[in-house]
Amino acid sequence: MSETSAWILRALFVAVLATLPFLVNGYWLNMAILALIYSLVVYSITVLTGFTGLLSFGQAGFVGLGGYTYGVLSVKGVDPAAAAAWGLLVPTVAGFLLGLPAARLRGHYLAIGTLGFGVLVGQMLNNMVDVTRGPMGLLGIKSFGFDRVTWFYFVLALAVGLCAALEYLDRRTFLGVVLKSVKYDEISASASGIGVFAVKLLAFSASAFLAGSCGVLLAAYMRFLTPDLFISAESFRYLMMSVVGGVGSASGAIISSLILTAVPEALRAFGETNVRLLVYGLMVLFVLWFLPGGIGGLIDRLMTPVRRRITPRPRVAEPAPQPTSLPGRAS
Amino acid sequence: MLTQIIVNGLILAGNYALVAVGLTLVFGVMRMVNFAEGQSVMIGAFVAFTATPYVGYLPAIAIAMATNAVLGIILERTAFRPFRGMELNGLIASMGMSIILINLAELIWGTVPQTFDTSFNNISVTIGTVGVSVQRLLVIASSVVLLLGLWWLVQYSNLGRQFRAVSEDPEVAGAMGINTNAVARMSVVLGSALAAAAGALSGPVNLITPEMGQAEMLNAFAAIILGGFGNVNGTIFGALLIGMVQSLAAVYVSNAYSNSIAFGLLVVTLIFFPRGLVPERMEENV
Amino acid sequence: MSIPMLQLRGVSKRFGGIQALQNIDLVGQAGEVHGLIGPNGAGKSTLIGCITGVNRIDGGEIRLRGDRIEQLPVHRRARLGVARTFQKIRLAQQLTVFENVAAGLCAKRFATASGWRGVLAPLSSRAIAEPVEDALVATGIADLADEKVASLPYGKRHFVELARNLVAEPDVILLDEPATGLTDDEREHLSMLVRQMAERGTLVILVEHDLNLVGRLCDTVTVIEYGRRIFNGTPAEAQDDEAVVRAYLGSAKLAKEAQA
Repeated sequence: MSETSAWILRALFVAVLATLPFLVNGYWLNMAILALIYSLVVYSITVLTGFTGLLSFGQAGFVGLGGYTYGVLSVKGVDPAAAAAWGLLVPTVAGFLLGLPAARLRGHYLAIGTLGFGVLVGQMLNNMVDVTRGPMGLLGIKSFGFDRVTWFYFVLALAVGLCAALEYLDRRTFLGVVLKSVKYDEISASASGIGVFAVKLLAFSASAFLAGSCGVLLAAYMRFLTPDLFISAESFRYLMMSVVGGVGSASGAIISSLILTAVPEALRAFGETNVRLLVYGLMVLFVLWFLPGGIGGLIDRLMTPVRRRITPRPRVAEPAPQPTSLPGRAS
Repeated sequence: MLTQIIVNGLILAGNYALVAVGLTLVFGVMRMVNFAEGQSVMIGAFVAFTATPYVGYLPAIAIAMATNAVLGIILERTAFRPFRGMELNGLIASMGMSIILINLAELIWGTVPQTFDTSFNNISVTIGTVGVSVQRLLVIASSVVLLLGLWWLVQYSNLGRQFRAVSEDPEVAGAMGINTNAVARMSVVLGSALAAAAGALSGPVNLITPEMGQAEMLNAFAAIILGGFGNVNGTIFGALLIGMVQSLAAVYVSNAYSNSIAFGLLVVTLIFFPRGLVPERMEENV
Repeated sequence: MSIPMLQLRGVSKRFGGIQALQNIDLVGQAGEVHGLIGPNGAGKSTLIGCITGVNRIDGGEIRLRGDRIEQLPVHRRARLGVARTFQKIRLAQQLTVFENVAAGLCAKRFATASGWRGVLAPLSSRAIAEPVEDALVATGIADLADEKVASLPYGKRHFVELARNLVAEPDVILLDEPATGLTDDEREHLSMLVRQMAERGTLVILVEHDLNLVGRLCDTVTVIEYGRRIFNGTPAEAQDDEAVVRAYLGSAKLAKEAQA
């Protein structure tokens, strides 16, 4: 596929999404909004796992922190904008703090350590009844004052914009290379001057920020929260979305959150919830069997990679090397 | 009080240990996390629950283990073998299987928690000043017997040697003529059967629901991490620690926080011992 | 005499009960090619690890341009101008050659506090593309820029690693058996690159089993055996040194003499 047709396809995808409010009823529009909000937490996994190679089983914890910070403050009468700012700040700081010990953990230790964090947040939300109202749920959260269609375009713009930004970051920027170097080989990355610990902290904070923003939007849109929305099973659901989308592919992430939200709903025709979820589980298995790289892997296969042509540049009278004028460094 | 705490702690520990060694075994052999292990516990409990009225409790445990052995074969085929070398995909595939199993169970047995009553529940013996039901003692005793059996198997049997060889280095093991696929399958089968025993044994002590596997597995994970991944002895030690701490917490703090305390312990441990209390193996050489 | 580029004094390292390095001294000047040789397991790679910071030393000191660096972590030393290749090549297999080499720029870009500012620069920007392309051309792998490292033959990967080091314009470069698995032509290319680096004022420390190559390239050699330095001097002197002959060329030569 040429670069041009790839752009046409992207434009088409966004255009079809943008016409959704005219095509579907309120129920489905609601689903689309939720799916787009959930794409933000899938992006948070794209950044953490896909780019930097760190596995987290506790993303729902960050979503919960963001959601409840916004929710509790807004119920207390804090202005939605200020509440949203706190709702972004709290999970980001939590991500940074969790990163301090977690950046030293590897593989499954990291996964279970973050799972521990997720479980703790979930239980905290449940047990801190004075603040969160616990299992009774947090009612009366104030919203941004959008109607449903505005909400849709707002989250669509956010999800698509972030998707583009992440794809650009991943494929085109120096930071993308830095992150992926850490993912593939920490030892050679540090030998090349990359501060692996700092990069991991950055990835944790950025990922927590994205997950937190998902929480803030969920709280503001639904205007009702229960701790059940942020239990570990949710973390696993996000991971599933991420893997089905192809970890590390932001485009795959948005498509997979749309599909994995829409399909279970569409399966309501089958009646019973259990049958629905059964089909959902099977679907995940089928994607993994036949598309090991997920949706993103499929997209990558369709695109022809850009190839550069390098011609040696004529060396312009290079100054003779002098021991005293070695490449300037902060020494 | 103390007896109560110790008995409850041992019950929890035995359960977590059975689940956790199953996970450790699979992880050691395939470097993959079997996320459906918790569901094996649940299926085991329900199969035993269904079989007990017909054949009696003890044979029902055997039936549950046998059923889960078959389930293990299915799991290995669907969720592990297709994903060798792609650990994350295998993990998600076993999560997919997990969802399928929970919902199958809800279709078959319903979502309402059920009481799994056995004759052992009603007999009790007095230890010190408190009465403890025979069922509870049976859970502890059986866990110990099964764990000892597993230990013997891994340490002395031919199969055990193959397990250790594949854990050490699958390629070398394969080159020496060990059928790594068969060994991998056996690890899932054994893990699943042990989980079935855990479910069938603890089911009568608690209520059984299709959701019961989740919590069981999270705690088993905590035990594994405390003990060090891929290390059977460490895992049992981790399970004991988690079980006892939870049992203490349930009495002195609150039941609602018992999970928080287990995971708090886990998080704190990882801060100071990033590779678990019993580290897996030495740092790689550059 | 000016301050040496790199100076090791009494460097010791132990792993558990094994004394891997004992009291190693080494001096390397800018523009020098310094051979580091010794039998397998003598501690050469360990010494490289000590200089780059992968291994923390238990005693002694390491000075770079006169400043002590033995307490600094790996990435800080890299930013001060210490680059290395690995005996068992370490590259990001799933990234392209271009991306791998671009990662090498970190040592230079992050050397100053303002380095983080340019981190969002596109890979196609001049500040990144030019040095990377130069390094690719110099190492003769410009045509492989967009290939994944995993798809390259082994010999080429050596050159990717070299390019990744060159792009950072290091002051000290440690090459851990860079000629393993190279064809004769590639070996020649490598020799040329090593000479060029030295001419530019880089201290090249070369760990190599090919003594021929060491003899041709190196100004100085340090020989270690069982973690101790047993010789330091020119390659020519080394050939006549009894201890070196016994230790390194050792068994084979002695066996021959015994036969004669």
